[in-house]
Amino acid sequence: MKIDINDPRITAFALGELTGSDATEIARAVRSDLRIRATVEEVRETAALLHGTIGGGEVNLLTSEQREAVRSAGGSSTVTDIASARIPIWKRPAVVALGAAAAVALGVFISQSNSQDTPKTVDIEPAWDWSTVDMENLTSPVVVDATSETLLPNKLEASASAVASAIREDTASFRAELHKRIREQDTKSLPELPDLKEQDWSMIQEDASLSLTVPQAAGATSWPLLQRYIGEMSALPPSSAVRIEEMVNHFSYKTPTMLKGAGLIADMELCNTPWNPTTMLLAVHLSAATELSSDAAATVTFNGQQVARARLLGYSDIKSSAVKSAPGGMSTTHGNYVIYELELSGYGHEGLSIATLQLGDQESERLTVHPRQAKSWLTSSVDLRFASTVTATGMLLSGTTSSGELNADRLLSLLDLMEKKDTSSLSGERKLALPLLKSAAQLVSKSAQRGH
Amino acid sequence: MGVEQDTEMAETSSELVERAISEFEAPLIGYAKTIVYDLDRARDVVQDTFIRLYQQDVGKVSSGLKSWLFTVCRNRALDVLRKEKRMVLVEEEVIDANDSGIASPATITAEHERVEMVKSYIARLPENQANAIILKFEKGYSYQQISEQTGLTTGNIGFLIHTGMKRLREILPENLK
Repeated sequence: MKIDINDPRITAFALGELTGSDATEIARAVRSDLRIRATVEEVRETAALLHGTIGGGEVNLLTSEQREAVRSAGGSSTVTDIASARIPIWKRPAVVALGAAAAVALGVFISQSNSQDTPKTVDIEPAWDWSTVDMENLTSPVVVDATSETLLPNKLEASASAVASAIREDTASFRAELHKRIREQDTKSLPELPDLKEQDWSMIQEDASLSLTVPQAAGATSWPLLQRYIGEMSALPPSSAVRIEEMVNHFSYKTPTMLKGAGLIADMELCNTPWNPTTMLLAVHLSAATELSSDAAATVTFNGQQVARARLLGYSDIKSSAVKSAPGGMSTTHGNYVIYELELSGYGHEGLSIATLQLGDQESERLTVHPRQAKSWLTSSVDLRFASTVTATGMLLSGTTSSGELNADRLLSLLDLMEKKDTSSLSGERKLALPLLKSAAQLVSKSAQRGH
Repeated sequence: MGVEQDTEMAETSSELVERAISEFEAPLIGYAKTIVYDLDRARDVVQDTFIRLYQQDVGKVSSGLKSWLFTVCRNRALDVLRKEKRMVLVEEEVIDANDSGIASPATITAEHERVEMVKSYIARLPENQANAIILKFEKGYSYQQISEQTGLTTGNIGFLIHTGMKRLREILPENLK
């Protein structure tokens, strides 16, 4: 039956006052006659104005775009008479696309589950099948296939809009799928990494010394990789991806103050190795005093009368001079923290130096460290405790040899000690790193148990 | 022909949704708002509720439409709350503590002026139309309640509100619409 445009039932319907067969009749007309639909929308717009003004409150009505999106979700209406219709808002292309996109987005939810407090006829909890979605372009083949040409003139654009709507609706699942894809991509795109050959111990004759150039830069990829493997995938990274120097220098350390020369500043600190009673750790923190010149170099010389052998921890297979211009190089704000492991000869004189750090040619640009300056790990600086613990983690993950008594349990105890002792100084990235380091230790422990 | 006639008369899911919007749009939004405490989110919840209605068997849901709508609306609103709580945890959303939610004096004044302007246009309507509109939108009465208040039939009230609103649309300036 044709409904007259001036039928008061249209207004009553728009205001929710119509029930029964009258409501069904007008509802049918709204779906089939754009003039009626336009009139209903006009009444609702005026009602919204009146509610919002003289009604003194918020307008408890859907927006016209939302209502149109609802209608579009049920498929395009069968319009029988548009000749006298005004141009309603839903005829505007943008609204059509938006409504249709939202409709299709929500229409292709595929999995449903029952809720206990839901009527028996209701299958709610639909979820978007994110596995079909192109995450890079945010389009869905399902949407493109399911959409008619006339409804969506630009199918790809509408598809993207549909996915965007679904993201809003189903954010948690979208995030989970996105993380999954990233992890998969990371695993696939991991570059071919050669097996690393750790730095060998250098033996030092009693009547000689050993001079090593202190590395001035470390790469930057290892820590993010660890975060993805351990933090997101709960898996051990390939040992070839573990670079101790990159892990250590992912973090910032206190600006050196002990020695200055040749455009560099440096600190040096000696402590016992918490996982090896026969060795000590010598930390050299190097940074640029001003803009770094290309020939700025620092050298550490080990005294053969005190040190039987020494090795650089990390920097596998890389000559220290070769990493000078690598990403993560030094600046005035970011130095390079280097740790050497030393095995003392045990018969040196207390008054003899263990190591000398030289920045330039001048006597004043030289810093020595003597046995009496050695600290226990617990009394060493916060920086050295942290850097050495990160180093220990890297050694465990990369399977470094000659690691003394280092194992997952020892690492966990170091982490616990550090957490208790350095609570106030552990902030920012260091604080965030602790759970990751603990997870690494736990994964190593599990892996070792499986190995046994 | 008989079969076609039956098919024509049966309510389709689209018509059911249209009817549901007409009858339950405002009460559902009001209900959802009591759960999510935000009008926009309440509207989103209700929009989604209506969309879900399409998935139902019209014959089964039609008789218990109100109950179905309010149940699904409640579940969806609770879902939204749960999701948003998770998102806050993940995103560490910063809540603007400075926003008290209280309108500024300028906003209050502007709103007051707007209300007065709308009232001035309502006052231009024939008295019985203006009275019906005031009772409907200012007092929030239903047609039935206005009928009881005025002694007019609901049909008359419907006609007065229909013609009054139509006239109001014609005379309201664009900046008020």
